Amino acid sequence: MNAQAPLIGSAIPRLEDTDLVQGAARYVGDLQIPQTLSVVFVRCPFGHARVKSLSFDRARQVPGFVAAFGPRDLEVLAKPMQPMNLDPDVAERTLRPLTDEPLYAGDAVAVVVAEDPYHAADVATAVDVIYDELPTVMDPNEAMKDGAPLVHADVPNNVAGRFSFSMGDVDATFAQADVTIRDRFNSPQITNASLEPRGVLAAPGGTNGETVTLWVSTQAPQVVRRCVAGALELHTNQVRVITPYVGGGFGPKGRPYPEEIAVAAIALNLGRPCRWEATRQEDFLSTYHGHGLSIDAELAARSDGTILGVRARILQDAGAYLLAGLIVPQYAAEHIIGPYHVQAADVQAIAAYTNKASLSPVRGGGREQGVFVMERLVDHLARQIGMDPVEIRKRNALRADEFPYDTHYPKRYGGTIIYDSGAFASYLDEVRALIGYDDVRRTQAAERNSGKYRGVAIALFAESTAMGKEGARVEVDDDGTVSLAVGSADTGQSHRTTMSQICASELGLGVEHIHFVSGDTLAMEVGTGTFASRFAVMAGNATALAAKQVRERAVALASELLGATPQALELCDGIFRVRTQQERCVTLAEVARQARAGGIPLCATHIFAPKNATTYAGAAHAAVVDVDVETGVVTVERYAVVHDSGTIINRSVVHGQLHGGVVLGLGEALSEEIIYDPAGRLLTDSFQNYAIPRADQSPPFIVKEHSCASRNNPQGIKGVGENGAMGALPAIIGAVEDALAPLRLSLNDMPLRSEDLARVCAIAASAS
Amino acid sequence: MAELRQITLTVNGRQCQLDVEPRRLLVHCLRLDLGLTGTHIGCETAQCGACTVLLNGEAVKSCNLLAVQADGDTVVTIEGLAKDSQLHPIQEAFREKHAVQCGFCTPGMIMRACELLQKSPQPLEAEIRLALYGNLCRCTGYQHIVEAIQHAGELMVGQGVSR
Repeated sequence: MNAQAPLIGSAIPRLEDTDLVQGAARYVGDLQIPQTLSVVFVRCPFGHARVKSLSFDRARQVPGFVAAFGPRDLEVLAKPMQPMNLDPDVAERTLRPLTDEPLYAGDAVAVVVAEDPYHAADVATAVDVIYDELPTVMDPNEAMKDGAPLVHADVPNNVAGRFSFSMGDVDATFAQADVTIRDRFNSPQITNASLEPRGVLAAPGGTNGETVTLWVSTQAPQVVRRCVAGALELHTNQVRVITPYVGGGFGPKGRPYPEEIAVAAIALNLGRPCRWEATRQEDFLSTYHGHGLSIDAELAARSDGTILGVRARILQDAGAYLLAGLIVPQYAAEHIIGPYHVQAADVQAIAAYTNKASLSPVRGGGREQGVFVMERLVDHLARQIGMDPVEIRKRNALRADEFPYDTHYPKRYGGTIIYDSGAFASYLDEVRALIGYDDVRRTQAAERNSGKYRGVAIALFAESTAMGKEGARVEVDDDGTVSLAVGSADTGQSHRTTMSQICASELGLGVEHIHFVSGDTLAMEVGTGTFASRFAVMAGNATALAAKQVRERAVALASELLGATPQALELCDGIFRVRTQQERCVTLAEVARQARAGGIPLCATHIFAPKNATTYAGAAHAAVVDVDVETGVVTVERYAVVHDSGTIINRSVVHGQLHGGVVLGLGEALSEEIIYDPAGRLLTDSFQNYAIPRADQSPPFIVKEHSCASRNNPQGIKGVGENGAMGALPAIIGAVEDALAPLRLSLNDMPLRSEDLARVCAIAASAS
Repeated sequence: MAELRQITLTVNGRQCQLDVEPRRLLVHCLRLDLGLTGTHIGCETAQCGACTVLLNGEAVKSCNLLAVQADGDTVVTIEGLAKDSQLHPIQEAFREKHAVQCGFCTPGMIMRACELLQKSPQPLEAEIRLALYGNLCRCTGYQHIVEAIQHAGELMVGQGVSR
């Protein structure tokens, strides 16, 4: 590999793939530690119950039985987890590993241990639990009414929390509007459906069995470590969390879980490694669910299509416990104003507890609901006043010369939202050309007459990316190769490849010279997690800065060794040479050895934690769909994205993230919904009744970059992980409305199931 | 506990004799008894395809078969594709076309692609997408996987490889 070719921006094949394509990569379920026991949780199938009796008598007789625990058998199993957000405005009630009053279907009431997975399942089946079913509340509106059953006895009206954002004079703005558009949008609960269900392997260690190592299928090992240490009352340095390969996360694996505490506690109690792997049904039941928002929104505008202001009321279904605070409705609120000139906005949000699985951000984290609201309102406004949807966006979009742009929209913890860079009108023009917008417009009316219903829609948005802090440690080893450790875990984002590209670029090496570790709290204890579209920004900058520090010191040492000034040297392929006298040279390896001999190894750690890490990415998405009016089936015929992700490290990685995000959004738009029955039993608990998109349902993609470097970090990087999911909802639903334009539909409830759409079309057909 | 039954499987060219409970799934036999953990488990209703292996040359979902049903049969798992540390063209194509993100669906996708390309060496895009009906992916959005399988077909024809 030619180390002189720029590595940042090169779409090199991934370093991870050689192991992955051979099945040599190990996930939690693949790790082979001798003497590992199998753990199975016994879970309540109802939404609300009290455990009347719990007996292990039969379970103890089953071959392979090792142990069984109820809530009172180990103190830590009944202890509530530490809340994540210590926000006084939020009545946070957290899960505990075992409970005798389950509050949602999936809440665990007992845990058993056996010699192997088959016997553990046998033992679990032999646990006798008798439940007294209690009244449930399954709808957040119903939950807040006086007299509704309480999920938590000490939380009045089940209100978990509320907040509001306001800017400008909304009442005056609406009073002076020519046109007002009002819609109510519903996004039901969904699940991440990562292909690898959750799992934990915990092994006691240390000289006296006083430490514990966990291997967890998680996005945030540092967070899990603190949570487990706190729960078990251990010092954090007695707990190590390692992420093996992880089969997807998408948000819900970014929060700690009670099973992590329980398996660690049991491993320490029994003195043996213990592993729990969720079944797919268990994953549906107990992995935190996403979305669950209903948004009532109004847009005020002039008759020429100028947006004036927006009002929204958000109702958030929190599920039975809160471990993520109100981050989801907050992200929704922050993304309602979009990349437009909006002079006034008022958003009120309220979250209510229900007897369902807990809330977590899922790819988009609430941002996509805010985007959906504004983009659909804009399309409905365009329809009302007879303006083209692209033209109306161009009229209102921020101009390239307005950045950094202060929206005056308040952030929850102070300050206002400032978009650092963007070129939104250009994204519109480019995606319009990419998708062939004008071609569709030209032929669709005539095609409708011959029974072909094709539609096109464009969505435009800004996306907040990055937050928190991230650490990177770079050390040059005595052989001239480099060890690089970063904090947050990889669940498919290509951390090894992208970070190696940055590090190798800085040190004039090939990527094959970088030994990379991520997601191991012993190697790097600082990391917030891989979510919120933050890793490339945070870890990318931490890595670059740590590598720069190493390079500067290496250059200084090399210049001493060579008797030349630092400016006279160049570094290439691991060798320092005097530019004008190439035979005067010293290897990076030798410099490292000299540094170590001198007492201080050639090593640097950088914690990247700027006060304002958040940087605003953006995109224009476009979808062309065909609607079968008899069956209601929507086919996305093609999909285009013009995106601004700032400095691009690896274009293949970015495109993969966009494709995957769009298809996840496609599922939310057309087929995905978590459904409980009135008794709180989960009806959607397998891929049989919860449909995620397949290959034959997913579109071909055209993606183009339009990069505007971030102003908020030295590398100019912006995140892209959630971009796909954010654009897909409005682009696809908008395109369906466009395909059926004569019907003037407002398709505001997700998912848009084929049977529902078929019914709408049939009714319209019979009325005409 | 049920009586163990002795079965013989030829896995990746090696004959294995095993004593298994009648209820033991083939996927558990491969992963736990033979240590071949490249075949993954993503569901228990035979939808996701992460457990796909070749059984006598046909792609099957190993979570949906009992080990005793495979007695006397030949199994090829993801670990059996590369020869003398040389990647199979399909593996190489997945690498080149960035068709892998978290990697959990990847072995199943590749084994399914093996069967497809044996039967249809130069498949069209629509044919590939339909062939992947039984293999779910949540990360990639499928486009790069489809491109990888097309490219693999070209590589295999070019190298005169048919399986």
